[in-house]
Amino acid sequence: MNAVSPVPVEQITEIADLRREARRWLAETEIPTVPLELEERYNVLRRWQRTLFDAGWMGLGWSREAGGRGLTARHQQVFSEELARAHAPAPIGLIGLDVVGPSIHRYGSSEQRSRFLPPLLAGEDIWCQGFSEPSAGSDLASLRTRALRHGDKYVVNGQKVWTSWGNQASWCALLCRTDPDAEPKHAGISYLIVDMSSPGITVRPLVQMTGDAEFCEVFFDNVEVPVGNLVGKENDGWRIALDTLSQERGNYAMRRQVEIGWGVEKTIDGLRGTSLESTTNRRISTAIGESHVALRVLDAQIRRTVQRLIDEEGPHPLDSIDKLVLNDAEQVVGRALADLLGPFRLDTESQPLGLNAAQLIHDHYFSRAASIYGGTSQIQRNIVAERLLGLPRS
Amino acid sequence: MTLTVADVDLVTPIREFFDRRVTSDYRHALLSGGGWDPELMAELDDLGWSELTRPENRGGLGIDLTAVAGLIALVGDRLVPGPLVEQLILPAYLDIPDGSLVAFADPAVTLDWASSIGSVHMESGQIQGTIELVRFGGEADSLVLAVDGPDGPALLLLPGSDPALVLTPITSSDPTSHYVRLEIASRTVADAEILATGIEAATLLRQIRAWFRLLTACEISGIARRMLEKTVEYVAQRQQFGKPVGSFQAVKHIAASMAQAAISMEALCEATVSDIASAEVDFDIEMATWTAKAYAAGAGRQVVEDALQLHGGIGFTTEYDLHWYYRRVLALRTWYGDEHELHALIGSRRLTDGVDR
Repeated sequence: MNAVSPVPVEQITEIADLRREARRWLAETEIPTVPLELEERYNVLRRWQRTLFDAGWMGLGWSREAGGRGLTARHQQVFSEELARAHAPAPIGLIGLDVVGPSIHRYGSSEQRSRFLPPLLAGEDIWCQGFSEPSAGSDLASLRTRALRHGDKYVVNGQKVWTSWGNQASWCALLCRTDPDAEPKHAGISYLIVDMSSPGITVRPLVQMTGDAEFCEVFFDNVEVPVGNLVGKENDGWRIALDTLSQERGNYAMRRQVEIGWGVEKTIDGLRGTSLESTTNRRISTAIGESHVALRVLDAQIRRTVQRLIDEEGPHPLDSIDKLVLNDAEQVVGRALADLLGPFRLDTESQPLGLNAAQLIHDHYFSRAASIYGGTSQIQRNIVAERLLGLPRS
Repeated sequence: MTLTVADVDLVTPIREFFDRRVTSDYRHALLSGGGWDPELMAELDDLGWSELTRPENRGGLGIDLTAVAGLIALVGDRLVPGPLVEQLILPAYLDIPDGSLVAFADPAVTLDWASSIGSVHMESGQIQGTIELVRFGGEADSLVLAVDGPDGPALLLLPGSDPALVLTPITSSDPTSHYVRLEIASRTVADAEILATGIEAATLLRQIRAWFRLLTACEISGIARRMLEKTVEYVAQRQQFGKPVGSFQAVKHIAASMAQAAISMEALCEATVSDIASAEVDFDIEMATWTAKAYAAGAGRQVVEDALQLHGGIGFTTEYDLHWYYRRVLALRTWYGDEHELHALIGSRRLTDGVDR
């Protein structure tokens, strides 16, 4: 049970009030320590999401119908900033919160919103996203997982890959082909909500370089999905997915900013706790300075993104700039901090200069995925060049 | 009352002036001939450039420095020569005589080369010393001089024509600024020449240097925007293999990276200005401006180097104006610290203060 009383929602609309209340609440609340081991991390973060939800901090920018607070993206950002200041982690259900939730919120039916969104916010339901396939990565529109309509059901066959939390999720937001003859290819794709406990679904975790196994392969063998689980119209899934990815940028970047900043703080704490030498060593201060600058660049970019979200602009080629800026922050910081381990990188249980080798190595590996997932940096640069700069298509 | 960026559009009239006055032909002739035009500075002064930030009680318009970042980005965009930044920052903080062109003799333009740049020492009312690089020290009517001494730092205002100040012109790689070496064998300072001492001087120096750093970052940001636009225009029309080179992915990706860097610089300058404008009492203006300058120093150089690459051979000729931009960005990136100097400084403050502001 959560002992903290819920925030009086009605009273908080001003940004400054929200910030003050968040600060007060976070000061009084026990902030969980995040374990490195995936399964433990998952459990801790899921409980943390529940705590946040019970106290009224989840879905600040979502409508009341969806279980949210009906405020704005700016409110959400302020709370994320306060989480960072309190050294508190982000909630667990990021795919649901950042990607799927906003899509159902915007394109789903009223029934879908009230059914799926409150348990998503509470962290009761974890969601995964079935987008990429073995033959459809950067060229996502060529996806082949097939959904054939039989009466009031779709029958789904195919395979998805890189499905984060596929093994934990109770629901999957699935992009599938409902019209194999459509030209262009993206005009034949639909967006289905699939119950992960349905017969015919097999999930196989893929162990990543980080040691985590949050990515999965998901196989669909004659999986039946009620027609009522179609989001939007049939063959209109591509638009929903694109809009979703654009939503994701802002929210995801905000959370990653918090998490990366938190990693830098912990590194500084470790360095300060050991010796005077580590505060006067130029190589160390340079790495911290470089990380600080990269995070500030990300922060400045996010402020612009948030403004676009508040202005309710739809997908924009600037979303690709956001993604590239986030990549750089991830990778500059990941590399700079891990380099402080020097040869102690080879001893994963070591703590040279007060640094946590296992954590820094994990974070460094993870940073390499940033320029691949959600559209590679090369795809983003194509979009920037053609749609933002107006260079001719090749 | 202090005017802020929301209150007044400073950029449009100045842009129109530059459109008319700083044409491509003019710039080419000027920069090829040494890059200093007192007439241009006088015309800008007639437009009120030096009055903009001077407090109202000293006869100026009292516009806050947070409102001039866009003007300085425009100076970068148009590669306008002259001590324009000096005339905005110094009158905002110091009592500079009206109509006087002022330079800032400050050894803190570099920290990593502190032992080479020199310093001026004041003791018992006497000053002596050397500062190796003083921007527009030879052209200015008066010099603001940052000195140190047993009583802490002090800020002096000295006439540029004073025979005790030996100003030796330096041949510079910076196309739009002139530099001198300042040497003072010994000179007595009159009380009236002392603008500030002790804690007051230290506070003023902290703010003035922060603004030099930030506005330099804004100027670099303006250069980056210009380079991006110029390059996109060029690669869209330059044909090879029967099509525009801008249709090749290798070229597109470099252009996209330029866009990313240019946009990031603008966003960071904007965020820093906005943070200063809404600053709380304990706001660390040094950290904020070190950060903006560190990023601009690295990203700004990268953007112009990419522009050179995408322009091919033409960008390497003196007939084309890219080389001026490149030289300018290389000059600006060193002024008040490049990324190497500033990363170490930022990291060191994070490690000792630990407060992330």
